[in-house]
Amino acid sequence: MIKVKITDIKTNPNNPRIIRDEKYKKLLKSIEEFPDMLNKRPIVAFTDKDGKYVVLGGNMRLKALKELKYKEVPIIVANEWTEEQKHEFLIKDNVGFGEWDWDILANEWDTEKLEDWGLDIIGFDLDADELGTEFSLPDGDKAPFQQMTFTLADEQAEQIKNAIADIKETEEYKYCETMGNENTNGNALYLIIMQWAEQRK
Amino acid sequence: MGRAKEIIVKVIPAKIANEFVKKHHYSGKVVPNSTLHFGAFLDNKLHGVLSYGASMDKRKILPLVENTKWNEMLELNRMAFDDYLPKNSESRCISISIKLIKQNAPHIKWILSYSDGTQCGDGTIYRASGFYLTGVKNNTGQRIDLKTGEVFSQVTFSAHRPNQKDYWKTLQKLDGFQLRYIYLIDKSCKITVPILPFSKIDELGAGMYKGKKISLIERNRAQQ
Repeated sequence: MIKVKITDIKTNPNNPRIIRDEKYKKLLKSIEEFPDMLNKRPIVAFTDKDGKYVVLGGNMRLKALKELKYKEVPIIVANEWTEEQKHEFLIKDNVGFGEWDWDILANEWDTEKLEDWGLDIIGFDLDADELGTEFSLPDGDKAPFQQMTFTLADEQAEQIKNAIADIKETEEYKYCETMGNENTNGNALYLIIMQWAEQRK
Repeated sequence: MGRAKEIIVKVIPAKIANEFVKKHHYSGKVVPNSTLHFGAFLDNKLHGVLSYGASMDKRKILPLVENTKWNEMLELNRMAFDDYLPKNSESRCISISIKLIKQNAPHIKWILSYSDGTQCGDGTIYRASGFYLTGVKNNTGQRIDLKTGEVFSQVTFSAHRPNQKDYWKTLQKLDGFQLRYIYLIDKSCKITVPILPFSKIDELGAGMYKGKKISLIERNRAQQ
């Protein structure tokens, strides 16, 4: 490992990794709070034709270190690698082969800290405080179904039949809300109307 | 019970529940009949969903419990959790959701649920939650598309794809059982079909846990 001037290191334009704002802020915080980690897990780079170093592993860290006004950065130079090995490293350095045991993390670790350290906690973001525990369900003994009758011109009836047949072939129909209705034509017609209503919004 | 005690259960919108179920339920599918969705929260995030609604063939289902009126039962038709929740979370969530049903819809007298012993499990969670086992039947109604891995049940297939009978014939039958469970909220209600001892599951070779065929006895032995 050597220490080099930060101005002598270039980011790698071929690195396909990106970092979002929130994660980047966490990376900045993480470096500020625990700078010695950089010595134990330095940036990996190779020497370019102009004598400067190109990052193979640590593009995001370099960006963060520049923003944090670091003058020198510890790096490991991997000049002995072939072009193919350099490419391979770009990906493999970022692939996580293991999996998190969420049961242990949820039970044994401080999840706020984990999120602070940049770990994406699984689960959907939804504010439980905004939600309630109250609801109502229909009661009584009446089957909540009814039949409706219309008079249609033959051409109109044909169009409706075709539309019903068409919508039954769609993916949306598979997930149409039936409210317990087993009449497929009724469900299809309802879906057509709902889609029409959606378009009018 | 550990951190399962910290779980909060709230009513959540269908859109979010369905999104969660599609991501975390082994079938990847939602049940269109679901009308009441509960979310299980831990550490300010949604980690589980329980969806209740009407049963597909309600006219045949109602007589399972004596004198049940049209709106007096619900089916727990989807339950999905991610890996974050600790052990015992599922039965705790069922218990809380049933308490909320009791509070908000006191006319609901019983809950029906099925466990899928062809791909998922034989209903460990239901047994732990006080459900009665009332049926174990060879599940001939499910088929799988070997190319896509998509599983179809005969009931929903014929309802939603009436013009695709030839496609149905190309699908492979899934081997296994479907187990029917009933939970009586109103303990005075009478189940009209025989209540089966849980040992019936092994007797019929219907044992399954996390998608693997394994008897209850073998599971108990492994836990000791």
